[in-house]
Amino acid sequence: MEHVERLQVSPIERPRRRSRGRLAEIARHWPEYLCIAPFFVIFAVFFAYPIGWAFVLSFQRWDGITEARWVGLDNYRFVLNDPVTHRVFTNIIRYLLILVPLGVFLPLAFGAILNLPFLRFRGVFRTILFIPVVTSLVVVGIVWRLLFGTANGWLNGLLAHVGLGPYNWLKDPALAQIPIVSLTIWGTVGFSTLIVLGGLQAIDQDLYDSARVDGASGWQTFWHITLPLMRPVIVFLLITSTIGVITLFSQPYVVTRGGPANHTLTPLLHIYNIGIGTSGAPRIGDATALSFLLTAFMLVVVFAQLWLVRRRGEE
Amino acid sequence: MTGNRYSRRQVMTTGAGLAGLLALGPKGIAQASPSARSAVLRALAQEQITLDVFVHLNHPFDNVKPLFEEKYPNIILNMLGNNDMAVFRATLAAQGEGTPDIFWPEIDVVQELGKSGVLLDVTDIVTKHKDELAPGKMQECYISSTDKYAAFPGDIATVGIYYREDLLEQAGVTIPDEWTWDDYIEAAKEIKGKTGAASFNLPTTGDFWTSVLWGYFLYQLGGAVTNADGTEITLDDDKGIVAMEMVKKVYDADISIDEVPVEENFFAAIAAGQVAACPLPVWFRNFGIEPSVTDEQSGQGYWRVTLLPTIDGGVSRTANFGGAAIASTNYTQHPDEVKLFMEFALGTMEGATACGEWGILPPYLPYLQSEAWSSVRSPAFGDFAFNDVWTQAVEQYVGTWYKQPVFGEAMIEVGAAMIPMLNGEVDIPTGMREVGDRIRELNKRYQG
Repeated sequence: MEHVERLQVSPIERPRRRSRGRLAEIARHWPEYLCIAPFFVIFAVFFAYPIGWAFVLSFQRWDGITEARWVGLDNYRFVLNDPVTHRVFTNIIRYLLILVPLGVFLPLAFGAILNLPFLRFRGVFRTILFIPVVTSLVVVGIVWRLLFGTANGWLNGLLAHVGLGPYNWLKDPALAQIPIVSLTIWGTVGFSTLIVLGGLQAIDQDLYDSARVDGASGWQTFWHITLPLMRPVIVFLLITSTIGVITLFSQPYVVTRGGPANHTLTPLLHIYNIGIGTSGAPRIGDATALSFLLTAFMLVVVFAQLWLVRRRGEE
Repeated sequence: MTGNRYSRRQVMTTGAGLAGLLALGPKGIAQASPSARSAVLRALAQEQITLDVFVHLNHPFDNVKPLFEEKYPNIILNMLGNNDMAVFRATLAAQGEGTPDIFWPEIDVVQELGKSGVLLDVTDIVTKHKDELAPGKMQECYISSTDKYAAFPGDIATVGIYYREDLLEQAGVTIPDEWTWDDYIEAAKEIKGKTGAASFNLPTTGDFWTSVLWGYFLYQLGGAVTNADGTEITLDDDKGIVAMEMVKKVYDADISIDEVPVEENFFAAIAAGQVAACPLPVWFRNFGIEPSVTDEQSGQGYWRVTLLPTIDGGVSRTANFGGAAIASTNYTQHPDEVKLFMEFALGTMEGATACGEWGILPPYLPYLQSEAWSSVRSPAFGDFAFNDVWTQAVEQYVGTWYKQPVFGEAMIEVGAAMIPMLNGEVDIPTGMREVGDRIRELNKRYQG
């Protein structure tokens, strides 16, 4: 009956009637709305409001203590012309090119190996892979510094036995990427592998059986069954790896502090340094302006990836 | 129980004080006139007061705490074991919510927060002790724009050469009374050749730590990063260039250890006997030498200190690295007790002795001229009277090493720009001009 009435409503009256209808719906389902309200209240207070305030601050000069002063687009002009900003974005593009492919390929490879039906001690391998996820990155960062130290580093000590080194791992701009990349991979590959494993185990075994009956080779099975069905997982890994790399913070913070000469400095670490004021008065306006530029950069990269993935899918 | 038993008079005055507090409202103490505030505090004097002390673990105030609490039993010092300025700044941004009563800021932070007016004015207690405090250190705590002292002078943090007598003897090197950095570099080459040990610390991390050595030379030349009030950048003047040329000489000579001096790899190098000498600050004795020097290999009993070599056109045989001060904020509810602690810790013989034994260089001149100061010994140094050298360094401490708010960021930028200059990819005058221009742009953001 209600459906019939709705069809008879004139187009001009429809919005008012629809909003009135929505309100009535909300009133009818108020216990359900009450149950989900805490999330929205928390989101509004702790996320939406700070983001809005940060946006306002990006047009102000403020040190967190004295009164904020309106400076228009000056913060954006400064950070866009700042050589350190150029350096951090160069760094992050380099990390995207290295870490995102590794962040997708390695979990796929480990996941495929762990999914092999004849593999023994599967649980042990899974546990070993997952240990880094539950290990404190700060503690591991200190270990990494000792590992890659120059004069008394453990790695240089090992290499000395075969007549190599010593290498200046943490101070050479090229070599300093290795501790950061290795620590990032070490810390994230376990979780991604579990996701891949879940995806692989969700594929219906009947599909493989049918393919085998039809005489498909291992490669054909992988290419025509596994890979297409794993596509959502791969897209998920691609997007989460990309966001993870763009927001890289802890690894350079604990291992190199962004050095040498800002060659491992990431946007988030730079934002932290200038926003918190680790080496001078906090430049909260500059930090928030850079945060919004970083968000824009992240959106562009992620949407470009999604567009490419969709286009490839359509093809 | 006796501590809680009050006389009728005390109860009456306490009641009057509390009534006064209620009348003044929640912000009463902070807004009340000093005399009224003191009266209220006097009335409450029999109550326990806790001062939150925001300093890192293993701090000189650990030695001061028992002495102070014995003298003032109603004041408890709550040592927070944290000196993360990010945490401290967060409390300031929260309008003083949870701001500790006492903290230990570097001088550039004193200048920055002092200019913003958030620090407790301690002009009264600093001027009261002005004849007893090292003038150069007092100058650092003075805010010219407000004509007030925003902190009580703390560690003077002079720099000298720490060296191992045994390794120098092994290399046939003796230290003359007067020598130049060029002489030192030649001696360092000799030491490296004969013992394999380094005589400098020059981390090529391209950050603050890289520029520290440049800062030593610049200090000795009478230069600074900025002018006195921080409005002009001076680091790329002739003195800045000469200082950088000296760093390049050190770099080219390959006589340095490439580790950050406050990190575990440098301590490991000291312990492994890979460091024969190094220009380092006074506080490094307790911070890095004593924990690392525990046996013959690390040179126990053979460590010594001497003044820095001279530099052409220089004005001092010491330099500065670190050197915090004691400060509080206007948010403290116990300004009188805070000042009491400041005076006790670094303006009395008892407090200065406790700090001096820890390993800093207190600014209290009567202590620096006393037997208590010169008789301090350490196993790493055997019977050597290292503090006599630091007393000479205090006499060389100049008041022209201005650490204005941009100082920290400027040192980081210089450190990052140094690597191409040291590698010879960029010539030093050009490199210094470029970094100077960059910091000029940055400094505009510190000018309000």
